[in-house]
Amino acid sequence: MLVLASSLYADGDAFNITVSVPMVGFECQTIEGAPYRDWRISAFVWDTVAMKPPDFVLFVNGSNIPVSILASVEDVTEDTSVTRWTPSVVQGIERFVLQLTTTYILLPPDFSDYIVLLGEPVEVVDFFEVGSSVYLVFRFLAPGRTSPGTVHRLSVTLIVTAS
Amino acid sequence: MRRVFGVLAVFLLLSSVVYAADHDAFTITVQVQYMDVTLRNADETGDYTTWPLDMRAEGEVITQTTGSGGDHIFVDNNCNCVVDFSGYQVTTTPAPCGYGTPTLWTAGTSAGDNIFKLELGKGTQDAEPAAADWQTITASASPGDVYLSGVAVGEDHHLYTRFTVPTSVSDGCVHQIDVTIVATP
Repeated sequence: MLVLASSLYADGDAFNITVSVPMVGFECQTIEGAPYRDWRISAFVWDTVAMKPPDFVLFVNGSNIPVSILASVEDVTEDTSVTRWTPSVVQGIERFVLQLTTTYILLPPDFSDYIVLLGEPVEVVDFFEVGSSVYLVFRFLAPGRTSPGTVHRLSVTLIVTAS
Repeated sequence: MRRVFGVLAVFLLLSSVVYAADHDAFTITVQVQYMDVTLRNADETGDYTTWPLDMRAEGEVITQTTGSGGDHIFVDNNCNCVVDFSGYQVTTTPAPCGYGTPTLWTAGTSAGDNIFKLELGKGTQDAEPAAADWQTITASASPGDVYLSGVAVGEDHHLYTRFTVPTSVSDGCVHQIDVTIVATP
């Protein structure tokens, strides 16, 4: 009986493994914290329109690692009868310019330093800390000539990668 | 008179036979199987508690390091009988951390979506286990999966852990896997 009882006996000791995996994620919010939908503007040819504080895009880094931010833009107007605009570094016929700068305060920046978005992603911020956020401010330079009265839909794509 | 003494002598002799006693003895010896296992650091001292992997890439394979300054484990065997060594693991869903949706990781025979692979194997202080000596641990209750059988009384060993990170995850939180090493007769 003693032998049977002791045979059921076991002893152990334990250790633990702790590990996490890089997670990249972000959100674009309004200054009130709601999901950012769109920036609706009206412009004439050659116009330059910059975002003002209520329209700022709050970029919130939801990653557990530092990240880089890249961005691109394209005309995704669904009406096939409308000639799509081309992103460019200078305004032109059916060519628009979209500039992007960042700020940490709710005041209009002077755009002394900015990035021009094109069809291919360009780096906007090369190192962005965990848990931080920044306002993205855009400035739109309308084409010098285009079909009048047409509504264009420009899509900005943000790409976040490990820094 | 001589006759009387003779009868008396016979009587006394008989009396001594009736009251005489003898004894013999035996003893019971018993030893209970005693289990005592302690996990120590690679230099065979202290108490081994945590293998911190910090942040790792999806699908990465990490093996504990060799040497007295390595991060592998010394299993101090103080059992008084031949034993098998086994291991099992327990995981819990991490608390929300703000990075994705906290999701329970489970142990598998290969890494996958929120599935990690845990292996244990006996090596030496300066050498990892041979390829054939790794045992995948998927059990979640005692005594778990045996990684070493028929270990002699008091025979210690150096234990290595190999961990494969899930190939994809749902969160960026810190996950904790509790591993228990068990000795059974």
